Amino acid sequence: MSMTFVGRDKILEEQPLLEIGRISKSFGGPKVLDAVTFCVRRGEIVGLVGPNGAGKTTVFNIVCGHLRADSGDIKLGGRSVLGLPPHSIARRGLGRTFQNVRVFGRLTAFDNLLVASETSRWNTWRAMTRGNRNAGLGERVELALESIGIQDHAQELAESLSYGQKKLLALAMCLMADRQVLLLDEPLAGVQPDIASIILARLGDLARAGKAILFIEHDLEAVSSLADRIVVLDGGRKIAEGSPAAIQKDPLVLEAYLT
Amino acid sequence: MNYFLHVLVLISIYTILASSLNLLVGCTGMLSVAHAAFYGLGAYAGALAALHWGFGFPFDLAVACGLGAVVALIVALPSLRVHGDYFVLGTFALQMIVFNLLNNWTAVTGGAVGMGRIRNPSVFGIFIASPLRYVCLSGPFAALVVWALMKISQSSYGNVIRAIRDDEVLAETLGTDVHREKTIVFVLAAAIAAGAGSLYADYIRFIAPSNFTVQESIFLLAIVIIGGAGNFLGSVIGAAVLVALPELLRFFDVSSAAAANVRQILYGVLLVVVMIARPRGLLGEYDFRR
Repeated sequence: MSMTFVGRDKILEEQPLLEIGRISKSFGGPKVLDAVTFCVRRGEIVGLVGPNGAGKTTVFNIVCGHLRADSGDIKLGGRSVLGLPPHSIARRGLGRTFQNVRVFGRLTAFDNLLVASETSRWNTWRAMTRGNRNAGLGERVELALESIGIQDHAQELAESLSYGQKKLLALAMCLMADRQVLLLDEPLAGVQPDIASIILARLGDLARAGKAILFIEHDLEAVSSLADRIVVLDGGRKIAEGSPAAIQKDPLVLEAYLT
Repeated sequence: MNYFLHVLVLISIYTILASSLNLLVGCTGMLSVAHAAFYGLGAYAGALAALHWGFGFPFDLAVACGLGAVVALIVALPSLRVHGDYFVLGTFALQMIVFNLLNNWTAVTGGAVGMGRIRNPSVFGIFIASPLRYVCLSGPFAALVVWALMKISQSSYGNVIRAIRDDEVLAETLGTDVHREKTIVFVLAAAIAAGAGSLYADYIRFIAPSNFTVQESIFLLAIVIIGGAGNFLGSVIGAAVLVALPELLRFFDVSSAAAANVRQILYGVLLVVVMIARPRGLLGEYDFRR
């Protein structure tokens, strides 16, 4: 897909695209998130790491609107999205992939991307009266499939794709939806090295095109190779934030990962 | 000949019903057992409009569709927020409420004994009284409904409702207002079913609550499943097979009292055989059991 690359030094000075301000959450018992605060700027790749149960996916679910925070605020492009339904938050510029990869299994790979594209410019009457193939959109879909290397599987049902191909398809759906902020839940988990390299290349392209990317990974070394900045959660609290080099030496982080 | 035409009229009415239910169940994944409730509401609304206002067939049909749509909209607002089994239970409750309303609101509906003296429709001055003329009315209606639903199914909207069927959470995360789109589909399907009810009442000229029970809803579901979920031509074939099949009993020495029970057994056996031998149905897009 064609992308306009932007100067990174400049954009890092701009207002963050995603601001997470002191969000807390409990499910009746102890807090699973406790006043977590951080941000992601345009063109930045931020890794969200922490041991199991640290609250990483809960952060994603709150940002997406699938869970409601007990307190705190979420801003997307400077505007609060707290309390909005997930589809509304998505239309304001948020894309997401899931830890357990989710695609529309009984649609073809091609149609998965068409759906992802349609929902960003939704008009019910136009959608009902227009065929699901138009030349311009079809070309975009084909380019997106090519960019992740599964163009040969375009007409296969998504449920018949391999796990890695589904991960690629899920990422391509984010590309088609053209969101400004992307939340990627373990994009590299369980995929083979060749697919991981495609995913890493596309994430680099997206960041250079000015997207703000927040991703979850368990492997601190893998995160360090990709992220500009890392946020570390442990027991629902942010225990560290900084460059990959600084995080790897942080005593609190080392303790959280070693214990 | 008239008997053959009568079967054709029934097939066209059941085609309309099954196609609209297929949009709901096969394309959007909303398993409803309340379709006969909308069918019944439309039948009574059309008949009452004809009886009290007498503006003619298109008006009666519009009243029926309008009432179906309004009731569906009122029901959709709370019930479409629940999913899966809870949604099925919600539609079951609606089906029972509508049946009991038709059965007990005697002053308006005639109660359990039903409503007779419904006038045959008149279209552009032509009185539609014979089965042949009614085939000429209901046949094109069925064709129009199937064509329109196929167009919707093949449109971008069709893709989006199939996406909702496959994974609501993902569809919502991509920006689809799932509740809104499900409401639109539910209202559209209900309006079409109510329109079929009006056609049925005008043709049969006598309706009773026993025509619109939960068994009728399940019969409509059987047409969709046997024809093939998500495929509208499948609904046409399913309607033809399931409406015509019990008529074959007439050629055997089966008493009319036993015929109704044999008919239920036939449907049951056919459904089980199709589920085992061809879970997609005759022309279905996917395995309905999943």
